[in-house]
Amino acid sequence: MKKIWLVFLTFGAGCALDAQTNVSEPASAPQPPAVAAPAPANDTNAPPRDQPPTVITSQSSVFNWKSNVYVWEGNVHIDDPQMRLTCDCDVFTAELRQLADGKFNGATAERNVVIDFLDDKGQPGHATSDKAVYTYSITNSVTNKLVVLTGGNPTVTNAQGLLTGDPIILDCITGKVYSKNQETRILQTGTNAPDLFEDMSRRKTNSPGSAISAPSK
Amino acid sequence: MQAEIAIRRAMLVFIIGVAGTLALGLVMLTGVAFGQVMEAEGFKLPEFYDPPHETQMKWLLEGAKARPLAEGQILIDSAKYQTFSTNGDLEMTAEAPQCVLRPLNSGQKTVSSAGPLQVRTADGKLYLEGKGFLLQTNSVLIISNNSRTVIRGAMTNLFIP
Repeated sequence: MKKIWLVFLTFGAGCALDAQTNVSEPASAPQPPAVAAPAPANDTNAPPRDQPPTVITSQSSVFNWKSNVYVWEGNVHIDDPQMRLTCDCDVFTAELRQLADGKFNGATAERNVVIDFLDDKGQPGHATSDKAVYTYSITNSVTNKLVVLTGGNPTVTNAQGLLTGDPIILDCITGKVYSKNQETRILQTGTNAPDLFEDMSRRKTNSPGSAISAPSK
Repeated sequence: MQAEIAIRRAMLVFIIGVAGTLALGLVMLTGVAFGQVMEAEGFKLPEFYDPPHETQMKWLLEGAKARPLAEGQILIDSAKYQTFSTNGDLEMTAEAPQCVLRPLNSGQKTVSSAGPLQVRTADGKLYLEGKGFLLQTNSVLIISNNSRTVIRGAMTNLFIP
């Protein structure tokens, strides 16, 4: 079961998220503060035991340690202050296959997915979709950590503006956000905001194909 | 005449006394029987690994009190379920105020309850809690309500309850 937590911790690495509410949460449920100042925890080298814990709450949960499938269901809220990530959804599934480096490579959030984050520069971001799939892989000694948003008109907003597209790919290594189609649009532009959004049309020329052809479904 | 009345009174008192004693005895015997046969203290049920680790305990289910229910089920109070690695190290502990142990045809066992459950790993990195659960030994844990999972630090070793 410990394998699960590697997935959660890597789920947020580089994507750096912070709190937000899930629209399906009951009104009485306590909610973390909305996207705000960057959490300082990720900026330190404090040993793991000193770092705040990751907390997952849900209506129910199933831990199957024979199949290595772990499922949280019903008003799922994942709060990882260490990685500055929260995720709300109806179902969160971690299907774990151990890789050669000892890390694990799969987690899926489904239905009413709301992800809030702080990036590595402390800028808040907000993502919504019907499904979010996290994959971790190593190809030719290159580590890939991707979150692919699909269904339900995926959107990612940050200080720069709003990005829509289906799918939208969040590269947790570079902190970049890509869309696979031409519907990408930036509705507002912040003057000093980091360039997190990258249009596919720009990316096609110089980017490695692996970043775009990453698993999307 | 007065002698007859006295005898009748004495007989009535005797009959009432005997009947009362018999009734009380019957109640006491019933209670003793249920108390002695139907409840046990210090319940313990271990399971061991298959060879070559057959001497190592795989898990241990303990309870302060236990009493049998229908169909081979056992109601356990103050239950504690612990799992161990093949070298005998404690891996995790699950505790519930009350639960029901149910043997399955497959040889597996389930432990379930509508009440609360708390699970923690020996290294303190993982904590689970919820209300209403079903634990199938060595394979699945289902928490039905108010599931809360707390992870501290990076998890580096396999956790198999």
